[in-house]
Amino acid sequence: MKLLFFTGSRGEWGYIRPVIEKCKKMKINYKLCVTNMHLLDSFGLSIKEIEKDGFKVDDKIYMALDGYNKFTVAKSMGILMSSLVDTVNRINPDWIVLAGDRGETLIASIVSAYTDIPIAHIQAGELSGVIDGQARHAIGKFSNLHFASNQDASSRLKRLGEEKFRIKLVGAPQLDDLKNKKFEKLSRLKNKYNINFNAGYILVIYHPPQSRIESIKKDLNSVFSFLKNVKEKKIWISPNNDAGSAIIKDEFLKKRQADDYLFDNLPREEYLTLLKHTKCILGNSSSGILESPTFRVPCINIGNRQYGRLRAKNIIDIFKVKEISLKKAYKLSQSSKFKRKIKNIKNPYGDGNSSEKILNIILKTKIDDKLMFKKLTY
Amino acid sequence: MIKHYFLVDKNEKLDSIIEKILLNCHRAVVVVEKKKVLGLISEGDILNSLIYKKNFNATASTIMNKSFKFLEKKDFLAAKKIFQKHLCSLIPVVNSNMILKDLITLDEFLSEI
Repeated sequence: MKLLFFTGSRGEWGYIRPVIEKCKKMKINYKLCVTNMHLLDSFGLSIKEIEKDGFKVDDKIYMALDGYNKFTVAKSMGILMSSLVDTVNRINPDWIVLAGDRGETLIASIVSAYTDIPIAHIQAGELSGVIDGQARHAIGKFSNLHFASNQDASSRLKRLGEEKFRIKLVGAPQLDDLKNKKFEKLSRLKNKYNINFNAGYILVIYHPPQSRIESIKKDLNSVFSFLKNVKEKKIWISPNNDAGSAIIKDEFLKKRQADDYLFDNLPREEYLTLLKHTKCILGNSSSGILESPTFRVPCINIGNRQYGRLRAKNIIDIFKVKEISLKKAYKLSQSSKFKRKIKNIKNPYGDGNSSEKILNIILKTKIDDKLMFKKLTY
Repeated sequence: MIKHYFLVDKNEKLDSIIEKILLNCHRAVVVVEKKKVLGLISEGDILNSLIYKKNFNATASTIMNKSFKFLEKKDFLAAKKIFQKHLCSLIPVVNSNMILKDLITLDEFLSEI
């Protein structure tokens, strides 16, 4: 049995990494294809981290055209498609394992489906705002096994016409990391990065919302105006390389204050340590929705990028980004009433044992006509 | 007054950046736009860029380190920690808006202690 894993972004690597770690332990033959953001110096060159953590990269596909607008992003996907076909042909895997809702994942699902390789899709069936939600559902149509992270996603897959035997409720594998990892000490990060965390800090991750690129500057203006009056330090993590990311980076450099720190990429252990100890995570990252509930830290989720996703009670949504609403949300997030409310919350995305479940299901699933020929019930 | 060869514009090309580093003898330059510090470029960043991007026409904004170390006061004790820990050679001193106020070079630091 040979599994081909595919990853193009930092966030989605968080899903895949624990599954590959488990592969190593279970001595399953795996191959890894790395593309997009992981290979870009200006986005943190996270392939270095992947290799440093002991994962062998079997193929690198350079796909991203510079510009990071709608047209270059769409064209980049075309580049990936033609290259990935050769990778799949050369590696000839039994399964392709994909995760999430990104454009490059959609392309990988098309390539797999047209080359007759069964697809196991992690984090299937969820809703997400902007174009990501459409991509996730489209990936679902090409997938042969759907790994849902929660009941809501599982039910949606059924309603979308997927056959019952293909849908497996396993939780989100990226939570395995949160359960099993030993975290860095905050004092070590303080020394390493020369940032004084004593007065606390806010973690900020703002990705470009594809359908609202025109609003990025306005939204960031409100965010910076709000943050300027917050005494805590702000730790910014660079956005992913979707259309609009260049605008975010430019705005950051123009508006940053001396207490705004920027990281293009952080090792996963360090990121999780920062998330665990933050006063609040602010932005529109899926990490706020999926990971922050485990640490019971408040999350101020802005805009519609995570629209419709299942939420724990630590999430405070702001759809129209204004300084005054951010101020109110932050005040609420730091109130003792809110802290009491989230003190004992459970993460709705699973218990941190998903990787093993996923691999066992893949190993037990027979690759036959029943699996390969999908009945489209709608 | 900060000497011109410590500063580069965000659009400045690699050859000009290297020239300034050779002139200042401190293995790094500060990237500024209207005195606001955008990043720092060390010899290491240049090597990194050449190895991974293989691009001799790169501009300052594409190779600069945006997570650079800086101080808000000309504090030699704080500078000592940064020099020791990060083995850097140049620390910008900025105000709260990231406007460049001064520099601490390793050379200056060593002559102070």
